[in-house]
Amino acid sequence: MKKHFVILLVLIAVLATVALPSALASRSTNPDRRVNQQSGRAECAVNLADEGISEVSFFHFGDLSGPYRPISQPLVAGLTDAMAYFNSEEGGGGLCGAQITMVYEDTGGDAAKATEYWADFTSREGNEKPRIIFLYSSTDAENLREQAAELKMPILLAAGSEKSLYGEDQTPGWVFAAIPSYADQMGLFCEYVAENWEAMGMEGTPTIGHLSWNIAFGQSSDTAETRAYCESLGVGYAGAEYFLPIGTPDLSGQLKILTDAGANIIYTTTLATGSSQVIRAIVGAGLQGQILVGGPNWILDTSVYGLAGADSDGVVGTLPYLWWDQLDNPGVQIVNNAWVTNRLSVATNDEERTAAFLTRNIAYLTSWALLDLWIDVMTRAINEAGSFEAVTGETLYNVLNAGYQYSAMQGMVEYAFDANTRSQTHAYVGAIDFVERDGQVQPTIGPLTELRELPDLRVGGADVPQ
Amino acid sequence: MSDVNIVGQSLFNIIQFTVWGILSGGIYALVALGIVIINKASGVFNFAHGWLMFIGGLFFWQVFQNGASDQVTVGLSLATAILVVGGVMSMGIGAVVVRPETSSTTEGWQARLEKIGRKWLTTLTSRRFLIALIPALIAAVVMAFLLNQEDSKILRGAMAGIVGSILIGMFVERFTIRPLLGQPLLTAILMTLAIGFIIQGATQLIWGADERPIPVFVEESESKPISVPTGIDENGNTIYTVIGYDILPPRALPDYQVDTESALGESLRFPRNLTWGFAIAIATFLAFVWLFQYTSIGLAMRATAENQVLAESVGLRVRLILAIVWGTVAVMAGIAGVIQGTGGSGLSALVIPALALRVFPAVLLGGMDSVTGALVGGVIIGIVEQLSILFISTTAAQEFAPFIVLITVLYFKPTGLFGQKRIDRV
Repeated sequence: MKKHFVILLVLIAVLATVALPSALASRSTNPDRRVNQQSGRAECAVNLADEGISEVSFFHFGDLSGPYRPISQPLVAGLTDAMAYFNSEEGGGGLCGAQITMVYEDTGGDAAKATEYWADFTSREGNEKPRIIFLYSSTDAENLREQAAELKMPILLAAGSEKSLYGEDQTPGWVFAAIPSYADQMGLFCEYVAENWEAMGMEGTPTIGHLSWNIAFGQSSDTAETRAYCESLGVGYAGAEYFLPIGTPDLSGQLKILTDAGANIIYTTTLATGSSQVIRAIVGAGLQGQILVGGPNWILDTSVYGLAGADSDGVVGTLPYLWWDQLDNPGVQIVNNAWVTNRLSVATNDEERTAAFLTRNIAYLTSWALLDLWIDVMTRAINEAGSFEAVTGETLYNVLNAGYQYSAMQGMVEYAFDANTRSQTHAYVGAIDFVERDGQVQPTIGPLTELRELPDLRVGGADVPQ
Repeated sequence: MSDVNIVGQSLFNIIQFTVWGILSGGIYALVALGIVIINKASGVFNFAHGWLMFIGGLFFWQVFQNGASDQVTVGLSLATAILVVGGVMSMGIGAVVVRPETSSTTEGWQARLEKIGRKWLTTLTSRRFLIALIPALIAAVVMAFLLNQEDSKILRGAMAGIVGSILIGMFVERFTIRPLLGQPLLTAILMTLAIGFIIQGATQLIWGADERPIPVFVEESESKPISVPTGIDENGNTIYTVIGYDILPPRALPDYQVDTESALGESLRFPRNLTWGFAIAIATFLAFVWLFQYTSIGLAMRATAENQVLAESVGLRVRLILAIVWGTVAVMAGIAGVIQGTGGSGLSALVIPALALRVFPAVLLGGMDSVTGALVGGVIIGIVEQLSILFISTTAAQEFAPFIVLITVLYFKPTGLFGQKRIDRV
């Protein structure tokens, strides 16, 4: 009997049907798109077309299919849309007359593959060789930090572990973070807690327990310096529990240890699944409202409230950029318009609209600022070197090292680096807020404070209590 | 009693963490059971089990979240009917000795085709097939009805998850494991690794990379549209665009509680997903004990596990038995995937399949061919982890303690706690 053929056919039918649309959804109203970018970017002194260069590549690699994928896949979507915009006349026509292209690889979270791609990229010659490489994860940056310095290849990093930026010996290296270091973000969070604890209606002395991933990223907020700084502000320390990002069934035990030690704040340095697990453990324990949940910038993301839903209402974190909802900023408007045109409007059913909604996250938003930053840095380097071919990693390093400042996407993100600073220095505190308006639920991420300078909490940093 | 302290920890904490250990051990046991049963029936260590958990969970999620479209309803109802026909036609496979069909490789393709056609014709006109059509038709109608339950998302999701998982399990067995019968076991084991990669790729192609929440243990809430600001109109007002309904999970329910405050000072808590996972693990364990010990198909499975060639030579339909085993185990894997997905992590391609890898110590501890061992091993590892969290740290609990216990046990009992000691006579 050849029943397997029938089984095969049925299986194919099932696989095909589940992927098909189940219902048609109503179309959205496209917002006004008459906004023009008033770029503060450096002017090109050289036209690359005159040099016979029609394309320049933006190189990046990282985890697109492993732990970071809910965040990193929208990054590629954002970079693709941003690249199309910047290549258009409205967006400046590319990089000094050359069209921008992307070259990227997926490491799947495998450190060995990251090393492999690094070797591949850095061994290229001529115009095919990257002058700067964009990485996503702290772990990759920490592993490649020394090689970057040896090969004089600057790294632009989406994350912010202090080790990757300053190493064990606290030397500013060749890694430049597009967000503040996690230690500095922790410091800002403690400032906010110390200033607003009573106003929040919380009881007892504010005491932090860390419940984070057991990887470089997860452990980067909890340092001797952040503990000392927070304690100097009257924010106590209850301890830290680090769990594996993969296959941890429940966090009730870890939460109990921390709350027994007096924690009434749980600070989690995790991404979507981890943050959601932490939130669910707190709800499960019936402690919602009695415990403040905080984290670095990654906790204020669509991926977190996409998983934890309304339970994420009130989660507090740091924001070193304007969020999607701050539409009074023209840069944010440009990103929103592109997202509506390229992602939301092309979705034809509920499933596709949900998928589009999940790309409306940190990665998509900040990828625009990153590419804008890259264009500006490259432009300045080309101007300085006199031609694209003369630009090396060292030229770019010198540009970033010599008091670089740039307001990317017309103020959406403020970047500032100098000889001593390898990460963003300003941010504000924000929170997830589930607003109900006109019968609709509107999940937003809104500011709780003004933009302010972050404390410098690296080892030996200016704000570390003596 | 609430004042009692043992090694610096309150009696309540020791009891509470032990309870959490038993419950999380239930999840481990449910996963371990699937791995052990495949190993018991076919001698293959199934590295694809985690991915069976994930895809089974996705079948559940698809219909749970979005309902069953017409295509899904027709496809799954038809599949159900075929499975029922297959079940009726195969009834008594364990007891009735049926000689396997043999075909000569020297036959021409016309002769083989004719033979297959004749066989199908005989089957389709047999009285048994016609009788089987009646329950198949009923099952298909019931399935279509259940898949379209607006009021019970869990029920419709479960139906899709069960049928989808059976199909995947049987598909995997038929096209990847069965062709390797008689080949070295290592080949089949490596094949399970390949199956994992294939399922990973297929799920990403069909469902994408996003994590899917499974809001099962949540408050009932009114369905409201979710909207986001997407622009500013000419008057400076913000434009909101509706994305959809029910795309964000409602508020979760707190853990189950048992009032032990007077005796222990605090109430014992039971996380909902772990409690259900544990209950299902126990039920599955009992079902398999009954199946293996008291049914003819269980006897056939045991014989197949013992020696496939010998079982086939006495007329047992080894291939069909293996198909049933893989189908059943895929359902168990799907249930474990859904249970884990109802926790905060959702259905994540990272978290769910990795749980199967973390269960390996439990499988080895209990014994790779013991159903009882899977349950006991899972619970022991769960308790060891939780008590290590309490007395040492999470890092120690997750990265050292289970392996230290495992090494210690295997040192004294290399086959695991309940594994069979095999003696090869020369």
